[in-house]
Amino acid sequence: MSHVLPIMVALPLAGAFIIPLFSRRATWLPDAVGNGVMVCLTGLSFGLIGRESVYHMGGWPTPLGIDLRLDGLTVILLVAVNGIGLCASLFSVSYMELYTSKFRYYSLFLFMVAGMNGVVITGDIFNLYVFMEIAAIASYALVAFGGEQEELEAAFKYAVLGGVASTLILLGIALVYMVTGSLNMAQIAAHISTGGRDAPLLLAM
Amino acid sequence: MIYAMCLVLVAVGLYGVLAKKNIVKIVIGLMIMEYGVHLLLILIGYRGGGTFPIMRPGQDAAAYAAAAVDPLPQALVLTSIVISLGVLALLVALCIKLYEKFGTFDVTEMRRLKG
Repeated sequence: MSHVLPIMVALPLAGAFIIPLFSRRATWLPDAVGNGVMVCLTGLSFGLIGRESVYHMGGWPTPLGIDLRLDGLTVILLVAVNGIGLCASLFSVSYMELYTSKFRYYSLFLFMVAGMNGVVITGDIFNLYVFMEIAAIASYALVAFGGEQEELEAAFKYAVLGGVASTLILLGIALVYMVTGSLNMAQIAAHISTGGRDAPLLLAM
Repeated sequence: MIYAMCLVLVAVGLYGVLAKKNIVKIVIGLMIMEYGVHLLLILIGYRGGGTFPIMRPGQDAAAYAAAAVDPLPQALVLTSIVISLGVLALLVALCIKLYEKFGTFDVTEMRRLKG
């Protein structure tokens, strides 16, 4: 069952690449692929309710590789992210007719969903940073969608705020790694609970 | 001490983001901040007189771990540089479009959203 976890990220990424490839010939394709991917993801995340597992990316064991973790909080957040994403993509079938390039919208939207699913299921703090940046960059571009004065101004403000915030998060990750010597969330928690509380760690948090 | 210099670099970038009015200078300040953090990450993995982190055939694992610098922060910085390149490209594209629409780089004249 744990093999479903990478699919939660890989499926929207694959959809985001397929949409710009074929949408010049088939104008119905962005709607179909975008909503189809979101329906699949919502179904999968409801199917994961009540399960717990750990998936080791590339088969590397825990201290060496990157873990994907499934637990109670992960399932709640996956259902929330994908349910709201499905609602948004269904709404935008008719709403995005106001704008010209629907396939760009759906491609960015699926990138953002992939990033958010990755943030939820990862068990490694640097991997969390990478997925968060994927979601953030896609959402900066989505805020600027339309390209008029208000949208560009809002996107620039949001991008600068988000850039500063994610830089500070990376600083925190660097300090956590310096203190604990690990990027795995479970190992960091074990290190903190065994009394390794000191000033750089508190600063990082 | 040398860690504090990295934090000074981050503070310089933060000053640029907060105090400058030209949007290109704001973007430059953001990038200075990111490079300060990258420098800190590299310094965390540095070891004085350490060897490069490639294991030669037949080398003892314990001796390798005692001598080599930490390769993990280098991989992190490589990933982070690529991410910051993406952010930089997006921000510069936004700056170009903003200049087309507003005719200026001054952030104080972009007040369409002021509530």
